[in-house]
Amino acid sequence: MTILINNLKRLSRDKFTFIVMLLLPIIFISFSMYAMGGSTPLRVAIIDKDNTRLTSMLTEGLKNGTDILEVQEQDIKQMLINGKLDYAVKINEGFTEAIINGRDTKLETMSLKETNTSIPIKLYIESFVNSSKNIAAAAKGNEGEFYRGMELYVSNMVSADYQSIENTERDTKSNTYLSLGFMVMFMLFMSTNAATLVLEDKYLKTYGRVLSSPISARSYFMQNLLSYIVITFIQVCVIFAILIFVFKADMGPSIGNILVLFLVFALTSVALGLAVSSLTNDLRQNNALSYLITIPLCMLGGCFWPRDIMPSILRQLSNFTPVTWVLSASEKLLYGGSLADIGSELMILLLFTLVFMIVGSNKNIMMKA
Amino acid sequence: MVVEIKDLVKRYGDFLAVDNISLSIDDGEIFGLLGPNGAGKTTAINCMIGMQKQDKGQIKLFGQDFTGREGSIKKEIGIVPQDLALYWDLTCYENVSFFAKLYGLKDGLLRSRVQEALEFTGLWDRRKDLAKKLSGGMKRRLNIACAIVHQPKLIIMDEPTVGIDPQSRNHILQSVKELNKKGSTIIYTSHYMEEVEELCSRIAIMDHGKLIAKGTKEELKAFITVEEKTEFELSSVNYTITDTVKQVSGVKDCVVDGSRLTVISEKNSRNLSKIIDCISAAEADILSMNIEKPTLETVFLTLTGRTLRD
Amino acid sequence: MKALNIAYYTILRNFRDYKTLLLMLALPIMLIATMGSALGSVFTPGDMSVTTICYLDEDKGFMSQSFEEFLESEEISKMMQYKTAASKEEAFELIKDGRAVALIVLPANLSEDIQKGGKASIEVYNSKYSSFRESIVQSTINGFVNGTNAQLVLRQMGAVSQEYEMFDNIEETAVTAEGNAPRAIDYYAVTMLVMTIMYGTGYGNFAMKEEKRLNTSIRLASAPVNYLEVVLGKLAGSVVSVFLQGMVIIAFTKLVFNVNWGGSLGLIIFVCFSASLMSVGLGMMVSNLGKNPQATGGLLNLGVSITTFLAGGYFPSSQMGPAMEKLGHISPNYLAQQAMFNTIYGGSTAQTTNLIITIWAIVIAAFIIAGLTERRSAN
Repeated sequence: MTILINNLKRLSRDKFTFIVMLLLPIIFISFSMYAMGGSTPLRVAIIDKDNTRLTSMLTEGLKNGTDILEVQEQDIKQMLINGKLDYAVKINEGFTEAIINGRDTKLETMSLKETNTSIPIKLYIESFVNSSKNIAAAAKGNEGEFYRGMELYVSNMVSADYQSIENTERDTKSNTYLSLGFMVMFMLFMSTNAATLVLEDKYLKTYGRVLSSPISARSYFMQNLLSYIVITFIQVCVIFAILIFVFKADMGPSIGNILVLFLVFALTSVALGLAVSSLTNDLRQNNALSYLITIPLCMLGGCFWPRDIMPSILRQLSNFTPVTWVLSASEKLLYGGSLADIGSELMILLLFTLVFMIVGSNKNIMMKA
Repeated sequence: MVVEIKDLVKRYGDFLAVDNISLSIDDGEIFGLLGPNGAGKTTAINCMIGMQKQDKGQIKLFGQDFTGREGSIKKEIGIVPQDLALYWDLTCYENVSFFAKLYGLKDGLLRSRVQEALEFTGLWDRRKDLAKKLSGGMKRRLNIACAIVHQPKLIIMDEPTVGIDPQSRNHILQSVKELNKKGSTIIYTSHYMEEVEELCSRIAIMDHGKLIAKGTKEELKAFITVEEKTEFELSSVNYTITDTVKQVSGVKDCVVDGSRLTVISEKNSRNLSKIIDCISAAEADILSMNIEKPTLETVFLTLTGRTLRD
Repeated sequence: MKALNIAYYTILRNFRDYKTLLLMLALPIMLIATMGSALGSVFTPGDMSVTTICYLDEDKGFMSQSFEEFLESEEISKMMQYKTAASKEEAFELIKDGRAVALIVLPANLSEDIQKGGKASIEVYNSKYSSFRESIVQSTINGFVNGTNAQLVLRQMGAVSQEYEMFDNIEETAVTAEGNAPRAIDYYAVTMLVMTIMYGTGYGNFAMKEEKRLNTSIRLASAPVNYLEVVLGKLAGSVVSVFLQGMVIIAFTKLVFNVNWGGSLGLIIFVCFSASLMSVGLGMMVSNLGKNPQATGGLLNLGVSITTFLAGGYFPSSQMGPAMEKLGHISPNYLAQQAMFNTIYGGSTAQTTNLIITIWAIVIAAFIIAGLTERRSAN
């Protein structure tokens, strides 16, 4: 217990750092909970050199269902290429006049060759211009007549009436799942960080002193382990509380079960952290190595993107990361699974923990320093 | 006069680290600054070399005010810090030449001075080894090499022998004497009395931030000690001994404790043979005898009521 | 001169720990290689998969006929397929399960109402979360509605006999993304380069604190060197160390992976340098705000992971929704990344200039804060 309490004291000694360390993941997850999800509607740029009633009717019509962006003409091409814009329309001067007088005129448009996403916009514009040409023909070059027809046209005698049906349930669950992914990432980062205390012990030479005291290497190791678990778990609980009470996240049928899962994973991640720190001798090396390990783990395991988008070799490889298993287990729990359903995942996580602990507590490795 | 300090005061918040110290150090001497840990020695030195600003007082180095002449004064000072101050991932050669360059040494002079410093500290053969690979004593020596490479006129050594083996310690003490012979003035702080006694011509004693005594070894001892104490371990003690001993000239007191007889005499009484005569007259054998001459340790003890190692 | 000397030895020491250095370089290069090959599909803009909608015809008039014709037309059927639903409930289930995006209902009497000349509407039910596909549905339906309206207008204008004519209305220019937009490997080469540079905060964190820890600060303070020279030397050494690592990544990815770094390499290198300064500056700032350099070091590493993530370093943030993409703009990584992408792929120079100015503003702010919080004492 001495080392446990001492470690907690040491971790909280530098107030600024400790508070930021604790808050950073919470803020980050809160933010992403708020910001995640949804996708951008189609984006259209209109360069209107004509500026008439007709062209503003077109713009108004496009606002229905697409985002109109204010864009400089010279930036259009780049924005299309970068996927920041889906379609661009340029209305030349004299366009309206030509239509009213029944002369042939065209809009200049620009889109990306590789994709068909902009076709609906094209169709809409096409039908609008085509209609106005027909109306102009009926008005026989009379501007007043033409606009009366156009007013009637845009008044939508036939209209589309949009209503949204609620399907929030599906969506908050996928958001919850995403934030659990981030939490997994933070747990790995935190545990590899916290484990640097062992390295500090090595640096301060207190390590040898501890090992020569009646405390055995195993007990020293276990107590270190325990102190990081306590901290990690406090963090998990705080984040869960925020997810549930602030964001009203849907945690599936049993919050308790998810907590159990993450307690087990806290164990795994801390064991991983200690294993990494036992392989290195100084802080910089430890930092480098821990990021070399944790970031790919998060990527393979699906913290950032669904595992399905990866090629099959990487998907198979991802079976060898604990992240994959904790995430697939939490998915099961979110969608109604019970602890029994995630039995195999829990076993695999505990197996990972065991392996990491064997690596981390290997006295030969630890005495190397 | 190499160093001249007048009324130096340095506070850390409420804590008075250096309390009104004045002292002067002559050219060519080894000056000992003695005191227990936390007495204010390091703070005094830091003020001396301009690393910390004093709250009050005047410091002159080489007869010059420190402020305004930092550059030229610092060039003449070499400091051997109490804690090892080395770059562990640089070699011995790189460590020494890095600091040499900070003192403006260049090219040929740089190379010859670095070699000189490494040879002087016996590390020339290890010059290509990383500092972290050296033994404890060698690290201490490298710590010195980095401070003397620019051949300073004033070398300040802050506890240079802490925690090393006797052999390295002797090596360092020899080096200090040699450096002094070559013309450097040396300020040597320590809480090892023997070292100071062996090396230093003049000594100042600090405690709780105050300068409690200064002078040559002899002056200090003379200044402090007024009595001499002799202890005898006897085969048998009978009380007639005390009576006769008390008659001897110069004896102020005589105490019996079990088989031990303690005699206290005035300073320089030269009465030892007479005392021994009294004891043999009482037919007691002298098993052992201890004459307590004043040491710096006793000086310190008398002045502060505690021992240096406390 | 002495500052240069300090800088030189700082670099020497940073590079002497070659194990750590190799690890720090191996991480980004490995990630560039794996993600560059694994996530190719995310980056190549491709055809949108077909959007499925449900269609419920309660009208069974001429409108339903023309609507079905519209849906089955060549252009529409390329991107939208419809399922005929038996009831609204059934369609809602499909939408909830994500198997359809919207339900389109032609209500009873629609054709009749239109015939009579009154207002009429098509009902569209959709989920409010899939706004991209929904946007497609909406534009498509609006296109259909437009055509219908036009015919009604013509009739009202008395041009009953006038045939609704089809004109050529659009002159479309197609631009290609090939070679103009980053492939996965090009994308990750940039983001991982910036990440590596941002991990340089570690050098800034340790720069001055390390001297205190090694006690060499005492020697530095007692040597005839200006304190400012020491700081500048340490700073320059740290910045160059970070910058050189960046150069190694650029060279390696260019030669081995054939990554596109664009024509103006000089500007890329300048951005790298500015980012190195920013990273070291931020490191020094945080180091001074905290106490224990170990703790602040850990904090900075965590922070860099977050800023990298937010800026889309691991996964393009544009794929995570519009709000997430905006959030990414607060990340320092974003500034450097975007400046590089603009430079390589001919983006707006004005924006690039603004980004670089922002980086330098951060550099200056970080150094001012670091300077104000620097504790100079040797102890």
